[in-house]
Amino acid sequence: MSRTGGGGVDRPAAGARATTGAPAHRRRGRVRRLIDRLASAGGPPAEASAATSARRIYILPTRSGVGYALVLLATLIGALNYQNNLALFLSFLMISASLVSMHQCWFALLGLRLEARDGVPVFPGQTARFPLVITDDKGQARYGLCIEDTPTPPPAAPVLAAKGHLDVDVGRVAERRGRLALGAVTLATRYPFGLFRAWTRVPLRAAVDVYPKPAARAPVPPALPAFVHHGSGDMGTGADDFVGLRPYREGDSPRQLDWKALARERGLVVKQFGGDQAARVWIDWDHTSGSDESRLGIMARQVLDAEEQNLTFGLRLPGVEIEHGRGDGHKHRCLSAMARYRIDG
Amino acid sequence: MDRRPREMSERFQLLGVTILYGLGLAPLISALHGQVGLFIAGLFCLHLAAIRWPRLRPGTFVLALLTIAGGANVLDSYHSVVGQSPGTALLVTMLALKLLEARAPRDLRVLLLLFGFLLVVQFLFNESALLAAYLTALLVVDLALLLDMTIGAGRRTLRERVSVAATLAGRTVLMAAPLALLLFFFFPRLDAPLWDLGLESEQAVSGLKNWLEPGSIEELVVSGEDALRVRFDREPGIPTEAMYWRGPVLWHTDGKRWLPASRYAFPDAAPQIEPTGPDLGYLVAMEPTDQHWLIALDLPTDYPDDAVLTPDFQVLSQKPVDDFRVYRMTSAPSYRTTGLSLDEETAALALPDNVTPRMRELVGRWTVDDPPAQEVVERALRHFNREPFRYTLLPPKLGENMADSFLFETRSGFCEHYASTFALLMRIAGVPSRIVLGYLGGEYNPLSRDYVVRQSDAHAWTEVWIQERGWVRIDPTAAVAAERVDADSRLSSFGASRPVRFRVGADSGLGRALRGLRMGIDALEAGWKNWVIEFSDRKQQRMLDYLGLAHLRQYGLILLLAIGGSVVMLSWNLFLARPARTADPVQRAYELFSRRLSALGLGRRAAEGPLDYSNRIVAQRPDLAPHVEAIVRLYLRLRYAGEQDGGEQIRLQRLVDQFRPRRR
Repeated sequence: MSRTGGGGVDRPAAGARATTGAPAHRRRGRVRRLIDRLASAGGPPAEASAATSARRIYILPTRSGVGYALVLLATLIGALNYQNNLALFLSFLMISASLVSMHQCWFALLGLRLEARDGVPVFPGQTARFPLVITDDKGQARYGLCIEDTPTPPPAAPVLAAKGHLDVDVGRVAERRGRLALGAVTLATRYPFGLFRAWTRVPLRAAVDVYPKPAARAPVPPALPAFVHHGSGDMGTGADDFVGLRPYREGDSPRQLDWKALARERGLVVKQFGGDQAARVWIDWDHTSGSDESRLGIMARQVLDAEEQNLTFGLRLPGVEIEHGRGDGHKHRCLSAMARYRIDG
Repeated sequence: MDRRPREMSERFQLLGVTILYGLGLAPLISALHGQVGLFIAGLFCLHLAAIRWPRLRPGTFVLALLTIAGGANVLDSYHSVVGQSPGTALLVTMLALKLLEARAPRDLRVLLLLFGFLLVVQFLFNESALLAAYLTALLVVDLALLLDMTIGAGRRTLRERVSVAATLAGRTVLMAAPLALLLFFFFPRLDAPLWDLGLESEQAVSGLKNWLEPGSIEELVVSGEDALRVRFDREPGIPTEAMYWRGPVLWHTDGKRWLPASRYAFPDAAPQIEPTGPDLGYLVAMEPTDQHWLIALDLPTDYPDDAVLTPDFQVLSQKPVDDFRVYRMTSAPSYRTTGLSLDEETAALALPDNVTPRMRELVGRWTVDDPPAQEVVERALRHFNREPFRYTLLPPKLGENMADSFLFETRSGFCEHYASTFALLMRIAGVPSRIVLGYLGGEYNPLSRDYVVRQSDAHAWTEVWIQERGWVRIDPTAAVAAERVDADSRLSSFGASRPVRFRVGADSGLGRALRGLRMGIDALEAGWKNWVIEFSDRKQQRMLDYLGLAHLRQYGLILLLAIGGSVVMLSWNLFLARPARTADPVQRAYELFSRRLSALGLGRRAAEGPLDYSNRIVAQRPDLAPHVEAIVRLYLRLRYAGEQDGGEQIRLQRLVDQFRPRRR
């Protein structure tokens, strides 16, 4: 399980993948949904970190469990009827093991602490990933823990060592612009034999910004007439013109690596760019029209385009103004401002 | 079935399930019809080959054909598909086919769940403790595979997976054991089957026959199998050498073979048993014989309700004893009987037509002065004692007229020869006589306090009618002089073929050790039989009786089950919920310190540091200040100042240990 980095945000493939996996919890049985609905009424307020609570761990037999119950019922009746004590004892042993496993299943969720952090912003339609840390408080190794309400549940269940912690991701499909709250996380397990499924819903406080959905195309924002020349340039931190090579330093973008040099075995070398000849534009609310959301969509597209073309741009929303800037950080700052624009209304 | 790449990594699980089924099928193959066993073994081999060479895996069509063939095979072997053996054969065939079909993890999971059937049906064919242990081990493997499948492979190595799965599954089974035992002892049993699936006993039963001819006891004498286990209510007061376990009674002889009388042969018989000593109650556990008689100590006076006492004092049950049976009896070890009807007397005096003149001449010598019957018996016994009669389990071959050649030529034999010849001689002398078959003696096991009677204790003796005393037991074999007991049989005094009458004491140290070992095994076997195989609704009632809950009947069992089950599960819950033990001794001491204070209402608040805590306590309880400050200071030094001094740790532990704050 890998945590998706910031780079994944504007890759449309991430969003496309998310839509293929239907949320697992929608397929689940009526009883479970009923229990979840009853349980969601009331309950502790969401915190960034919460422990599993005994009163909120539920358990039901799985399909395997019901099947095994039928097998055991058959062996029990057979053994009783044939008055075969050994067969009876083995049936009882299997029944008892299943009952013990029910308790083990339930207790496998107790004494865990979940801590969620805010995820990386996404566009609508993409899956927001919230980094989650599951910690064992009880000094007991946990097997087969599973975060279920995530669009693509991990294939291999990780092992949580006693007193250890586990990093997982919870995904939430972002549907519209704004703040996407993580809400409750469903932590489930079928440990030890898959005969029962215990689950608990832990409310967690974490959120991501969901940027406005960029319009398909947008008018080019008017360039500013005034051009202010900085005498010294920006000394190789821009992205425009090739300036020269320097050795790799930690934190350099892989895009700027001179791969050809690496291939020629000259080591990691970074191409330096400079130049402040970029055009400066304002991406302005007042230059757009339509509903709030379509205006924001157009502006989002303009921001993306401007960053793509390496323009220096500023953002103006009613009541918000972000000064001119450039680069990835600036782009996200602008998009976040749009994500949070008038969302409480 | 979708095939995702990770399914390829489940090869280990497929192999595991295959091996598990192989181990589970192995003991059953021999119990089933050869043809069915062969078919199943074939399917298994095909499955193994298909794992190695996946192209060999049969398609849907072939599988359907194999399924039909499997069913037909069972039908052809047993001419039925219902009943114990055919039903099992069908079930096992279908399981083997399911194994062959298994592809997806889901199939493997289904196989692991169905494995329960395979475990349980085995006990229909074999009820040994060894098999039970073996199958319990297989259950652990089954659950371990299920567990591995449930928690997923992750990035763990094969070794880690095996050890984790085995440990956790083993632990679960151990935790399940108390509840299983509780269920076993208290779960109400059916006293009659819900339906009859044709319980059959196909195995030939070894045991007494209801006739006697040369060789019929000989084959038993070499058998070490148990015949009975007996537990007396009190000390029996009779030596094992005098324990005559009565079986069938034989009246008619054609000179070669002795046969019993029909049950209604003597309609006028009205015998009475008059005990001349105290009664003896006991419990008998008898191996199946497929015969009606219930073996009893000579002479039975009280017997189970479903049995009758015949005029010749056999206890016959209504149904043949085709299963291990436990019953209660009361006997009078010393007795006299009265009442001999005319037809009984006639039958007890009837002679075969091969009585030779020299036999008549021998008897004539004893009856020449017309002595009482008692005297005739004693003279005959004296004859066996004084003449060179030998006791041997390997008698020389007898001629056509068995009694004649035994009496005058070979003079070697064992109980069957002595009893049949003696009975014949008595009839010639005009003393009514008959032969009783049964067992003599028994081995007392001080561990289980049972008497074990083995097939090798089979014996034949005679009864003669003496006026005033009734039927008197005479054991002519006992008359043989001890020095003429064949030395050959002494060699095998450990084995089954030791002569009952002349049991040689275990004189060597090795002998004693072997004997002790055998006693121990016997006691285990008896316990196994008594508490596991033969545990029944009656024993449950007796258990309730012992607990003083007999009046509750089945509800008592359910009550005990509910209480016991709750206690067990509650304790497991407490076990599962146990708080983690803090590994660090310093932290542990500090936790104990705050626990002691919280008993006074001065518990440490969440996220309250040691210094704040100490200040708060001192503010509220200045009297505790010196102790609290010393402890907290030491704790802080050990915890945060990197102090590694073991002595200081111990000092902290002692300070906390001695810190017993009182309420004000």
